Amino acid sequence: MPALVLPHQQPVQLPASSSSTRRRSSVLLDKHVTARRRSSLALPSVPCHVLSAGKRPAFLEVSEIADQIAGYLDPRSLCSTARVSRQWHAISLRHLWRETHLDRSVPSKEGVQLIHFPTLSGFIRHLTLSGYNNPTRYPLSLAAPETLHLHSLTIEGCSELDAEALYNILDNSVNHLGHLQLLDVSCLQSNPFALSPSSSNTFKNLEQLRLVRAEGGTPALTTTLTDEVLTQSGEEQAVTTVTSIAPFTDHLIDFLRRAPALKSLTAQGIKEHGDNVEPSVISLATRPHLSLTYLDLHDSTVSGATFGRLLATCPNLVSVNLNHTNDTHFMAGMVIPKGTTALHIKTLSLHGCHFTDGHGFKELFRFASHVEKLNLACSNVDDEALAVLGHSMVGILLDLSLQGCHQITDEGIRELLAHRLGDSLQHLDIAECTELTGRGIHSVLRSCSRLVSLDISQPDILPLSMLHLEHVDEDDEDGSEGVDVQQEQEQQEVAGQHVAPLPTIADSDTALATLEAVHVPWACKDTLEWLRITKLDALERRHLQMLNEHLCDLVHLRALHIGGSKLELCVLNGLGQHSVLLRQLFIDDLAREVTMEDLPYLMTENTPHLDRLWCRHLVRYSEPWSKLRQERKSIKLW
Amino acid sequence: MPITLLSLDDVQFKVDKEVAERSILIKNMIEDVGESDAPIPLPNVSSSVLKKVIEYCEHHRNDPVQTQDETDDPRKRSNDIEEWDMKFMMVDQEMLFEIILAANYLDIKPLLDVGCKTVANIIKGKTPEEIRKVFNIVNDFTPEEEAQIKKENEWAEDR
Repeated sequence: MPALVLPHQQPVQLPASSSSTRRRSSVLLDKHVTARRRSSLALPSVPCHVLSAGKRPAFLEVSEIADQIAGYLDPRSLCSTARVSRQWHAISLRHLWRETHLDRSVPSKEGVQLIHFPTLSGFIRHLTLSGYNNPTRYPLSLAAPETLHLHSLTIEGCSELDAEALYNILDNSVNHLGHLQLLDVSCLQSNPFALSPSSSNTFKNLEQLRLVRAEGGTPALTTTLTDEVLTQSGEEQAVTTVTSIAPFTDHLIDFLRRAPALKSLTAQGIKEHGDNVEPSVISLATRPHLSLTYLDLHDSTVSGATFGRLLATCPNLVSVNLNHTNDTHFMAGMVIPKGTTALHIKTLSLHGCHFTDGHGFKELFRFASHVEKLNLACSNVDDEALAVLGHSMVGILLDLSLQGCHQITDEGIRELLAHRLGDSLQHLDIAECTELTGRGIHSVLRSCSRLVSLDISQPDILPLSMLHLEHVDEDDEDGSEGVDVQQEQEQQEVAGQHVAPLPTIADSDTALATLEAVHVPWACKDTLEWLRITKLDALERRHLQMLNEHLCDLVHLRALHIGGSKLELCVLNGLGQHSVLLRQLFIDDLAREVTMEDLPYLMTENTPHLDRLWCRHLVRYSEPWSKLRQERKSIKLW
Repeated sequence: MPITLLSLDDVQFKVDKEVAERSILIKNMIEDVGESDAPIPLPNVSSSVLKKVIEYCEHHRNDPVQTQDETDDPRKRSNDIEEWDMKFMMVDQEMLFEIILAANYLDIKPLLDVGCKTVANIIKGKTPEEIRKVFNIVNDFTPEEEAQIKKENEWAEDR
């Protein structure tokens, strides 16, 4: 059968939706104005080039309406609509093929469908090849070059992908390709960046490049570095050491040169084998990349020297992710070249980073002093580095995570906050810092006055210090924080006059009376919206009331996550009256089931505005559960 | 101040400005021309359709203004229609099509969206011949062409 040539098979580049809308409304306005003129309003005459009033177009002839309807259809329905009429054929094909996913389930070349691929491939905008291994013929290599209009390409686990087909796809998508993702790069047989030398086209729209799990060592990928790269790099020493194991290096540098608009580069899990651990992606560090704003080297091995140079060549970086690397060489010998600035880096993620020396952290903190969001969770950051951090990021840092940092102590937290970092910090996570005691938490609660969210879940938390008992304050006065102590005393004076309504807790023991506790509100009491305070395993009964007072102070609290084996629900007493915004409540790790005695604290009366309640120890269909369900119909019980 | 709308068949409708301005067309007109007592003629909309459209706008008068297109989400779903809208759209097909055309003309995007979703739901599960019948579409393919197209897309159909 001869190939069908339908007039609409030339893929049409639709105008952007906004402009089409604008055009439509202007046409409509013209029409309206004409109509108004008839109704005796004096307006300048406008040529009426639209359908005359009264004759309405047939419903689906308005192609924008038909197109919108097609956008809501599933592939199967689109296959039906494609056979309805020529107009619908064109509309349906555009939607049907816009996003195409080829995987191993797609029939081989014998399948009749692939014969038609060349004519249809022009409709594809987003192509995903996953595990598609057809060693002999590749459908896209049949495509006529000028018909491809790919906007994004994702290749995943295509170990048999034929080099020629890949070059064909890439080379023919030069003009529109915006996103290129190569997942499982390690199993690719051909080097995707080794485009034919003759092609001098630039990927002028390529903004995002993701390379994931590209472990070196695949023989086909290992190429030797060309002389050209060596001379261009100007840093022969550093580059030469990479040569022996670099799989992509030479071509990747060339490829990056052809992608001048690249904004986002991800090189995840890239590790090379052999003595040298630097992945070839780091060849980026050899030339300036002004457009690059997002850099993700998650789980890739980078030396400190290279990273320093990388920062120097990419001055416009906004977000840098260096999460997780267990490699011993990681960031060793970190030196950031003089004169390098990082005024734009707002987000820095060092989750799970273990620098071989604390120097790396210090150097980074000094350098990236404009960071607003810093993630140091599970890293080996230490007290000394925190002191530098507290000094260099004052007034800028908004979000800090120190979750699971086992090396920091109370002293480190004190140093961190010594320069009034607490005046700007809005989000803080110090959960699971095993070396931290109540003293450290106490410093946070006392000096961080802008906190919106706080996670202070600690094993073996020391409730006394955390709850601002007097003896802790005295201890602190021995310290050298002049300003803070003064402030503290002022706060105490205020607190002395402040008559907090003491909630009546049934069978409250006499221990409270003997203790001369002064209620000093937390510094963040007016701003805190989200609080997580679990693992309250060493709490005594009298502490519950103090904790309750503190919780009642938090007038903007929206979500509370509380838990611990010694927790009693009376800690929630009257919470809803003070924290009127409280919407979500999570109760965790109780040592026992929720009983009818606990129920009053969960009822509407106590927390009237709750819309979500999660309580691990509230047994489904138990008596308290049904009672609660009955009374609070509107809230989500988990 | 109420706005007067004039339908194709010269029926006047008085509606609150807030309700009328659900239509971007009318909103722009009021901005351009300024408020006046003169009725706004809508020469593309019959009174029966305009009545339905006004009913919709009355019900949605307090909805927040829709923000710009959600960056054309590739796979939009047609099954998230509000209950009230669903009932509102339970009209005969002629009326449904008229409402969509009116929504397009008057530039009331949420109404157009709901209308298109409703039509998409009608199309789902129907054969090409059934679709032609419902929408009065003439088959302009030759039988050979139709067979060819069926073959071409079988692959996509199985996805």
